Amino acid sequence: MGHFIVEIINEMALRIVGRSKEQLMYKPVFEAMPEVRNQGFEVIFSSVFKSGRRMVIEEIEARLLRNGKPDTIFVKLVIEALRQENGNISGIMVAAYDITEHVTARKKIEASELRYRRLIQSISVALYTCDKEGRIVLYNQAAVELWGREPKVGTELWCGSWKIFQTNGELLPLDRCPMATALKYGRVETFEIIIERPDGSRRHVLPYPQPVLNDEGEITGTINLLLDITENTKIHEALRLSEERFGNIINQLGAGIAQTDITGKFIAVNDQFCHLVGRSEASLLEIRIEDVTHPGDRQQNMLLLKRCVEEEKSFTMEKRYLKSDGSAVWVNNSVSLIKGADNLKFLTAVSIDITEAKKMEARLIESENRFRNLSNTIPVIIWMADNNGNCTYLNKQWCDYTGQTPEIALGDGWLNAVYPADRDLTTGAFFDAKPKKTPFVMEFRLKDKNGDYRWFLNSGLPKYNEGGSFEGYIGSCTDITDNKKLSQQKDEFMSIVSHELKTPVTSLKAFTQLLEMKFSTAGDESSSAIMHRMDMQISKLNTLISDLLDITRLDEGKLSFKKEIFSFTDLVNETVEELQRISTGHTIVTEIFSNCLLTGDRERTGQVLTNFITNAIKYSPKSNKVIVKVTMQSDSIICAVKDFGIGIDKSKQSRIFSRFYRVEGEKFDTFPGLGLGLYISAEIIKKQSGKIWFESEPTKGSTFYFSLPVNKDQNK
Amino acid sequence: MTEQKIFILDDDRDILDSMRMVLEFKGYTIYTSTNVENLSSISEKDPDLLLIDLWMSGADGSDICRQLKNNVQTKHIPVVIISANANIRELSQNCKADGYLSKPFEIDELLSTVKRFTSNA
Repeated sequence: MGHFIVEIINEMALRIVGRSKEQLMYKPVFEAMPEVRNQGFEVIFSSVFKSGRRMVIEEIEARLLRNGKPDTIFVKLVIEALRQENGNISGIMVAAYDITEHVTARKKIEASELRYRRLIQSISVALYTCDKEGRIVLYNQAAVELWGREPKVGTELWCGSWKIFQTNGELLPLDRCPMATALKYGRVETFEIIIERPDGSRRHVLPYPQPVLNDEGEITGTINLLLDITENTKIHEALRLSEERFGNIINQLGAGIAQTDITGKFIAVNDQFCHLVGRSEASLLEIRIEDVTHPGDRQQNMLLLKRCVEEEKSFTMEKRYLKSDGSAVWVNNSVSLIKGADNLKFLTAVSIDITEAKKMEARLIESENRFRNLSNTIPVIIWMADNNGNCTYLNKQWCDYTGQTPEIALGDGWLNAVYPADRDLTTGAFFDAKPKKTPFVMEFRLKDKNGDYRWFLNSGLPKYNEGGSFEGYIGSCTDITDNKKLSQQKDEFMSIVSHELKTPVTSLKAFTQLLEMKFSTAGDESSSAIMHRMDMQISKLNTLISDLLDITRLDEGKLSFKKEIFSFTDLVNETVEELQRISTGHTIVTEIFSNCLLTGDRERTGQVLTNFITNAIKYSPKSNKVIVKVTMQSDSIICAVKDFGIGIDKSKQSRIFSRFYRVEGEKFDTFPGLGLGLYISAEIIKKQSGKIWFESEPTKGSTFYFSLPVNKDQNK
Repeated sequence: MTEQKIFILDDDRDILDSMRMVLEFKGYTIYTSTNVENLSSISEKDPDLLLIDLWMSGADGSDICRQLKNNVQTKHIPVVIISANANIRELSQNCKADGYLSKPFEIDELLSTVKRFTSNA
């Protein structure tokens, strides 16, 4: 590598570097100008010297001592390798052009541009620029926030927003927005626009576009400032709405406004006030407030007016104005003291007609009174309870009956009047029904003021307020002691009837059978047969009596059921044995495949089995066999009674368990009984959570089934 | 076979007679009463079986049964309760009776019940 010894240098070059020819000629250049070392020139020169390739450096900064003073210049360099005849590189030639002035100017612009960008960015108001084609060049963060997005620089036109609307709600095409017209026509229009963001939210914006002109006065772009005025707009909007609303209210309610002096003498009134009090303006200006005030409200009104003047205290009262025709009008009257410029005091009264509201109030009171009157006159206890079960109302009857005062009874004091053993049941009924908001009915005993208990039917209905929201219960308690007694008497009566009816039947039956036996023994078969028929009729009578008693109890829900644990197999065997004794024509076969304990009413269950077996015998006169089968299926015992008799016609099968239904034999050959047996059986089985059903084929026979749940604990 | 003695207690004269006639027809010795002033009137007869109506005017069959069963002298005598009451089974168990018979009954039922309690005597 050479030392780049200066061999030739022209005047121009000497001027650029600021040295004399003597300072440089025949000297290595970087020794003659040590200050330019390490500024890249050594590398450039070496590179050309080594490669032999020409190199053009458009712009390079050089910091050097020119004429003894440190200076910075910019130069354009063209460096070429110098070759000998044999082609070897012997040196380089450097041509330098001073471009300092040019570069300095450009640098200034650049700096200014940067400052400009920084300025734009630092401004908290949305600001962006467009070039002369309208392409967005620059935008700040505030603009991004306003637009809700970042536009693509150099591509998107006019505005960074997706959609612009006019304040009337019409879409404003982007190329007609103020920023566009400013650029296109140099015309600056400023009107409010609405910008919609991609998320659909809208901002009210006042744009300030500013065309940028060059020295020739040509438009080269725009600077656009977007002022977000949404909040202002909102306030204005709210203000406008509230004014509108306020105005409406005033208009709708017909607010009358009157000014009086401190003595109450009218100074000014508006039309609505005249209308309200039914007097002309002229007549009102002659009189005082008290002259148009209802006598019933006058004293209080005057007192308040006086205080208003003395203590400068505004007041509002409900009062009646007296119209010229003598009728009264209810108003809500707000009065305040106003002080004029010359410290003159006067009163302003704003009166709103509340006659309708007063009427409603009166109606409400009337309705409430009606409720209380009714509630206190009907011979039933009425109560109300809130959501938490606290008693909030009890009518007079409660107090009369229990001797409790309302103060004691309300809340939960009423519970003390309930028979102790019935208390849990009473509160339980309420709290069971409450979550479902369903009505409830229960019976309990209440202590009267003498300490005697009587039975009451307590029924509660969910209560809703006008808004439709649930707010507890309203209910009534009806004295059912007499009903209870009657019902008890009826039970006793039925029991007596049962006994009294069955007693003669018992002896009648015994006598008949005795005679039948005696005739038979004596060989008088025809008499014996007659006695047998008599006996059959007596049996029929007995079944009728039993069925009628059962049905009466069933209808009243009084058929009592015991809960006892019993062996189903034993019950079947006993029942079959008993029936076999009296059923000489049929053999009752038992097929018991399962033995288990049931919980339920043994007697009633046996009744069903008896009903099944006697039916099987009754409806199979030409057959001689009935099969009783007991099986177990999962959690139930199934009992089947099969006969080979007349069967049941398909068309009648659906009615078989209904009341008073009987299977008819051919040619009106009816079978004894009221037809209540299966209905009673079905009720008995259903009451014990069992199922009852049958299969039947006419002329082939029927199989009747019932299933009952097995007591799992007992069968473990 | 020695003659079997049956004591029937019922306030209904017709039922008493019908039962007496049926059972006498079958060769039993029958004592009847429509009410019981003292239990000794029963024990005197030393019956093989007692048939007692549950619900009699002026007396409760179950009380009589209970007293008999609590008495050393009479507790060995089998007692069958006769009644039209639907709960006869339970009631007869409660008063320690040995059996029961629902009213109205078939003669066959009466005879088989009687037979059951007298055959061992």
